[in-house]
Amino acid sequence: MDNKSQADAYDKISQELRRGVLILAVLSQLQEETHGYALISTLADNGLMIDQGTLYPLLRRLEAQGLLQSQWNTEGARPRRYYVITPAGVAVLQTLQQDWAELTAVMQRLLTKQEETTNGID
Amino acid sequence: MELIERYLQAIGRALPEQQRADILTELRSSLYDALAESDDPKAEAAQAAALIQQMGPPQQVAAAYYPAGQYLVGPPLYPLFRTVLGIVFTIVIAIQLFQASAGLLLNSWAEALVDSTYDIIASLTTALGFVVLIFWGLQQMDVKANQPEDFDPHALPPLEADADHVSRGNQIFSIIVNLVVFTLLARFAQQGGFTWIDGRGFFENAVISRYLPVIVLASLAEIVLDIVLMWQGRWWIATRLVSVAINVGSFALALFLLWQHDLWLATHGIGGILTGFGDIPALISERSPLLGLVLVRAILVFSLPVLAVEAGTAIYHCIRAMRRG
Repeated sequence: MDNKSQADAYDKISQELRRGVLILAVLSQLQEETHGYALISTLADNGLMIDQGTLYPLLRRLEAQGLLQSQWNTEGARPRRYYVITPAGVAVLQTLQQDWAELTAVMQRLLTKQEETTNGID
Repeated sequence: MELIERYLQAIGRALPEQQRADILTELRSSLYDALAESDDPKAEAAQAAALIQQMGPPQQVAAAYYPAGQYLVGPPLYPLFRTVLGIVFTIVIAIQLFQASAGLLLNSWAEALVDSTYDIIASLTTALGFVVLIFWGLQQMDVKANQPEDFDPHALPPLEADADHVSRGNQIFSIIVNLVVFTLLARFAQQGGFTWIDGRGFFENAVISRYLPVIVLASLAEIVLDIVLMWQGRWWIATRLVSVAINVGSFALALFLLWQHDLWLATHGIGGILTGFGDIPALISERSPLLGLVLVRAILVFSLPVLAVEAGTAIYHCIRAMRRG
């Protein structure tokens, strides 16, 4: 596989990996009312980059599923839509956090084993 | 900022109508929030362009807002769509072949061939359009194909027979049929024509006489292929290709012979195929030598759809075998 194909393959897989954690990241940061741009900044400050074209449709989908609720705030210079997690969203978040903890433990074991095997071969 | 508004306008054109205003207000607010305040309009314009570039093409941004993606026929419905399309295409082709056969009886064969080819293409295209339209409607209504709640492994269909296995019974039957044809041709060559079973009456066929070597060759080729298949016990790509060549060649030969019979009979006052049928009783009672050509022409007319189906089947199996590799 040439370098470009390898880079393309990595980009696709990396995007899928990040896409999988976005919902958990978004739900975890909406305990208080927050608008979309502020959420983007918060996630970016913590090392998770997400663009507006990805975040806003995601927020709408989560709202349609009943995990978030939103309302417009027209007090500032521009109207902003503020999102906050719902009780159903809190329940889902707690379950996802447990799933995440289990998943990271499993992956840690697998990757440690893989590293030991690689070191053993070397 | 004009660039931002143009971008939002382009996104808006591709958004669901009900949510358009709401989504655009939110995106507008977010985009302007993202732009750093700058006294330099040129810097602000460059920053806006970079921001828009990062968000991506308007259609892509709008597509993310569609709940089930922008499918004409989505993944859940696609398997059912393929099944329905296969059934509809089979029915349409069968009807068109039947109509083509009727056309051969009523019109000249050349006219019937052109008409039926056009009709098949037009019918298949129309059928495809209707099926796609129906399934697009189901997609818009978010109808899901029924999936079994509990999957029972024991209810799976049995294994399919090896597609390349040769049924010796079929090959023996084919060899017998071809040997009968070959015997008739040999008798024809020996006597110079056909006779009734009681030996009375003698009917030449100038067309068969002229092209007898080609007809014999086609018959022999089929016999040789059948013997090879019986010996090997399975199909290979090479034998599939030979089968396609023989079947397509047989169809073309039958078509050619039909054309030659038409020409010959026309020069002797016998009209189209249906007219020819009407003349048969008189030809029989007169023991007319034209009877041989009229009867063979009728046989060729009825054999053409059969040969077309056999050629199509051979091509289909050959393509499938080549895909299996």
